[in-house]
Amino acid sequence: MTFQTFALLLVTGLGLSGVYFLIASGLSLIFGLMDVLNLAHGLFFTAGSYATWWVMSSLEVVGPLGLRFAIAVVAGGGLGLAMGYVVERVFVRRFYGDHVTQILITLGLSLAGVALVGGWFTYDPRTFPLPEAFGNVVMVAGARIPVTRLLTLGLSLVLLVALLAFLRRTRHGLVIRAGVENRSMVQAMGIDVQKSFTLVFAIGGMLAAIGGVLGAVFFAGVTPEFGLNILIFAFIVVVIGGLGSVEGTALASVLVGLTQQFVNYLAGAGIGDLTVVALLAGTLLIRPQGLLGEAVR
Amino acid sequence: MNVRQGRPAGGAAVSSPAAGNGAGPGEAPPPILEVDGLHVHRGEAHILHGLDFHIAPNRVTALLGRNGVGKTTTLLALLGLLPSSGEIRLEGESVTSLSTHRRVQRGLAYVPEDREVFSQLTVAENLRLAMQWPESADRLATVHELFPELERRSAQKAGSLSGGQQQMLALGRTLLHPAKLLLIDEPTKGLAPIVITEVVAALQQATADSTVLLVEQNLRVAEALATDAIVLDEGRVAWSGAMADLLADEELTRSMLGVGRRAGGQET
Amino acid sequence: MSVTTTDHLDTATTEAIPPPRRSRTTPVVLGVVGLILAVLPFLDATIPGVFTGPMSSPGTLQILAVGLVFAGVAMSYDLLLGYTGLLSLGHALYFALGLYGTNLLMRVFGLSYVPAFALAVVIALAVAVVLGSVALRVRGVAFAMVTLAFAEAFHVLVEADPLSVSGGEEGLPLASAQVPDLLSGVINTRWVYWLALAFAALTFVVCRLAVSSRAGRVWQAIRENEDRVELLGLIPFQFKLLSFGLSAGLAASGGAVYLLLVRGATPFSASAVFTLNLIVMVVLGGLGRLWGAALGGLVFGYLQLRLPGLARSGVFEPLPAWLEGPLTEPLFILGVLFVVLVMFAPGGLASLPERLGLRRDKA
Repeated sequence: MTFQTFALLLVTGLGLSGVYFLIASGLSLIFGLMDVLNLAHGLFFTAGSYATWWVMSSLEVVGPLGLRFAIAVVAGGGLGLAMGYVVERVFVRRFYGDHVTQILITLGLSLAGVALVGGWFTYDPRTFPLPEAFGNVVMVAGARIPVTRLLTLGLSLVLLVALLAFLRRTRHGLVIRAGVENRSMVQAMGIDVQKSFTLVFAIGGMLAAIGGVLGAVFFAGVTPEFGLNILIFAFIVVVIGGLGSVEGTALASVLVGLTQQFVNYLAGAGIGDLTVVALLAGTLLIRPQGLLGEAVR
Repeated sequence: MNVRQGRPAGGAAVSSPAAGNGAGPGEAPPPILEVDGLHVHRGEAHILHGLDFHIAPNRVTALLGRNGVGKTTTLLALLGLLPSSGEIRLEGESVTSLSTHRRVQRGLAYVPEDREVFSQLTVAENLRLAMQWPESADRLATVHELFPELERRSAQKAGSLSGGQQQMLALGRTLLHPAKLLLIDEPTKGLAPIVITEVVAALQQATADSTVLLVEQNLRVAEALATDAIVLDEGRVAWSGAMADLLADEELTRSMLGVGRRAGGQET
Repeated sequence: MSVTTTDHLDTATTEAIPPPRRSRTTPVVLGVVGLILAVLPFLDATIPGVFTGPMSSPGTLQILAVGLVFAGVAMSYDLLLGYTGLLSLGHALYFALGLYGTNLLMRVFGLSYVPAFALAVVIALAVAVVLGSVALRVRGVAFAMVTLAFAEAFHVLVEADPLSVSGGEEGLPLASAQVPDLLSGVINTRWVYWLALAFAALTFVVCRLAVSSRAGRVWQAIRENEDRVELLGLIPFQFKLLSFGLSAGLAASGGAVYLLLVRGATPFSASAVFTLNLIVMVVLGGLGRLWGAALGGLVFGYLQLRLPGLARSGVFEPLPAWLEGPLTEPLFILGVLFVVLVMFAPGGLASLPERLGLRRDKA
């Protein structure tokens, strides 16, 4: 393997890790805080990617494609935020404590959502114009790296730092971290933990939707089922990282993204995906609580 | 079901003058907490069969009874952490329909069994989480005075504290809340004897002017802290009155608590 | 532990778990329904609006047969979710193992249909025991995620097809030369239909016997409270694995029958979406009631195959485009119906008679 190939695989793998992280971090926090397996999380991703497609190809009022992309990030993120809020308030809230019902409702939303998007925009992959700069390559340490890969990686790193700062520096973040560890004790301290539930759903929705924006660029197109497909890998990332741990999710995203990228290149398409599942099985056998997860409480 | 021993309970106010031991003369002050007909089911088990009791202000009341009789369940039901039926009034106002955090905002505070500090958060973060009342800033100084260890270890993860230190943190964060009634569950459980002495001293100081409902298996500790007692048996209040009267009656103590007085604190 | 203690615990367990609700009318009703379904291929009557051709036409029998296979597979899934309380998101794996397994054994090793069918089910059982042992190390949501990941691995494998045997995204056409003449060709659709009916009926009988056996009672106790089962001295893991294995074997049999109906194996059968469809069927019909799951499977199969035709017939054309598009998607209608049912009628279709006050033997 040449250095050029290695560097390209590395940056591509890390870019993929970034997309995984954005969808998995919200999933992990939602599960950690309120024990909800949100199968509708892929829908937030899909919303972000279709928002990007629409803004980039149809928002002709705004001329420069670079500005359009900035709008796509904001619009996609905002759409995900709103969807997360609605899913929690309308569908999940009234069934706290009833995990199966919550999973079933988010599952129904997920299936209906995919079909809705398919009904509106058909199941054909949609492509869209990107700013010219996105097609360039830059030289990093002597290797030619496509700008889209660096963009995905960079933006997801920024969001990782922002999420950690939010969790560590703000009172809302403090309440969320405490709630992940022991929800009822947070209530017994006089704190309305339901507010945090809504907040975490909205933030998770926003991150996943921005993941969808980046995913649309990264994979150069959008399809209705894509969110559901990537959700499966996000689940794997969440379990490997440890439920409820953002740091663990970040670590596992890198592990899964790089493994998938390198093994798929070296051993053939699909083998990388299988290796990732093997990683999951290994994690469960050796450390069921995940890399940075807490033992079952 | 009949009350088997001692004075009939029947909703008797713990603050009755006969309870003696420093109760105010003449009119009894209105109770802080009134509980009427509290029932709790857990799964198929009917744990509390209609508790009736009152808690008088500025006194420490021990909630006693054999293991598994429902003492912790009572505290959880008062907090709304377990579903229950019946009526719970705090300072005369019903809190029965309120969620847990609203009840706490109305003036309940809770020190759980097993302490339940947030082990992944630092000591300072554990305290900061509780800093949500106007009085908290002033009270933090008092808490640090009371437990200087907490200030020294403020950057340490709470999970790495010793059992005694965790108990102090659990108590300290509760004291940041200007609560009307402190619910304290087995503060000395699982602690070494020397640490128990320390925790009891701290509790005596910390609860000097507060109203406390204390669950305690260790009769010695209960005796040191509480002026009044409520004894549960078979899911009901079987006896209530002054702590001193309970301890004076060895037969009663044995039948209600399954322990002799001498065995209470020392032997295992 | 002494023998007497064990005996005592067993009695305690069985007494602690109430026997399943039984209605005397259900077997009679189901027997009549089965009989009617069995003679359908001889009926030339048409039901306008419901089916396009007469009941005996291959098109109608095909739709019904798909519904019957779904009914059987949904019942097998109900063993897991409805009776044992295990939320597996990977049940498609076992269905697909039956489907691909039977087809590959015929293609690659030249086995004829029946031995290939049997061997594929054995393979699926072995896979279920191995993967189940790993997945059952964790509970609840983690179990759901792990089963999902295993199934997805197989999905990726058949789709990427690194060994060039599974036909990749296109799938693998039926090895028709290995199939008995009676079960191939459009004229013989009625025989495939009867096979599907036999599969559904046998699955019902097997499931019904299983859930009323001692193991079946333990499953239901695990569903209610796993820790209590452990306290009674039983090992929940063994019983969960039994439930997992049995339902996998039945699903694989369904896959082998489905192979003849759709005349090929496609990666969709191994996908997470297929498992999600199974969940929709079971919940649509009513969790923890075998005939509910069967009804859910039938309704799902029917709607999935009929709705696109309905859309093509132009029923939705007067509607605005933003509504017409989604309404032509079967999964949109099923998904919305599903969410509404879960939120407002958690017992599914099977609970509707009770809800409407039509049945008096209420739980």
